[in-house]
Amino acid sequence: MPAKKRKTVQVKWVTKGEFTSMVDTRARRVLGISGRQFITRWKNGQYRKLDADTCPGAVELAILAPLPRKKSGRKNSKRGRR
Amino acid sequence: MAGKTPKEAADNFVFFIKETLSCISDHFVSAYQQSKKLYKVYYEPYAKVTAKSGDNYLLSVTQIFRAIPHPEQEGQFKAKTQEYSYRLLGGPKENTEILAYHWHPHDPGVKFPHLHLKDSPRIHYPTSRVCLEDFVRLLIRDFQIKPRLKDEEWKEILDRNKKAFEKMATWKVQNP
Repeated sequence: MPAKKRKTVQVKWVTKGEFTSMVDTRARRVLGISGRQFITRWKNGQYRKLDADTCPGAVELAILAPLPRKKSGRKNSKRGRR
Repeated sequence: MAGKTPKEAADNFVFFIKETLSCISDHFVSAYQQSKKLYKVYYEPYAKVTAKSGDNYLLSVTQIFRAIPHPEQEGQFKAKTQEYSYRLLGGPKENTEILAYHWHPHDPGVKFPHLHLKDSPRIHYPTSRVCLEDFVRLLIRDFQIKPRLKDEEWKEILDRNKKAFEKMATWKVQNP
């Protein structure tokens, strides 16, 4: 009798280029801007009042995007100390 | 979930995430190593899940974690969750979000784990730390999402992975 086969799911380890492309796709879908624009605006502090309800998906975008750690868009952020 | 290297600990953690999500979706899980210690796991595109009624939903799961030295096992590493987002959407548009469990202490908004519900915008309902296994169980039990596996299989996976998670977690899930 053949061994029982479990329905497995794949993990796709992505490259930096693929990840950057994903952030760009996500930013366009969520905010209607490019990933690069999102990161620039974050650096400029335009998302200090980012809210998941007024913009669903934005918080997820923020935790996914490779945002700068030392110069966050949020004052007194702990991100710079991680 | 510990590993002899940061990457091994990360691989082990990603395996648990993948296995837990496999209970309800066959969608592949994406993983990215942003730095030596920082890892990001997510769905892109979002995963489609189907309820027993035939209704389709989309699932977005994002888990950000670090691989750190194990505090109790010298020479070992473990994964430590840094932020998470578990969302259920009614359709492909972001504004169809039905619920979202968030914890993002380093980003804008509230610092504690919380729940967003579609019917009460702008409210951040405080929660315990929510583990992925509890979120998947909620979808199967309360949203009637069809599991891909037999009942005894998905229950065994969720029980086993939650126990493994609780054993390693720095701060615990408060069970009801």
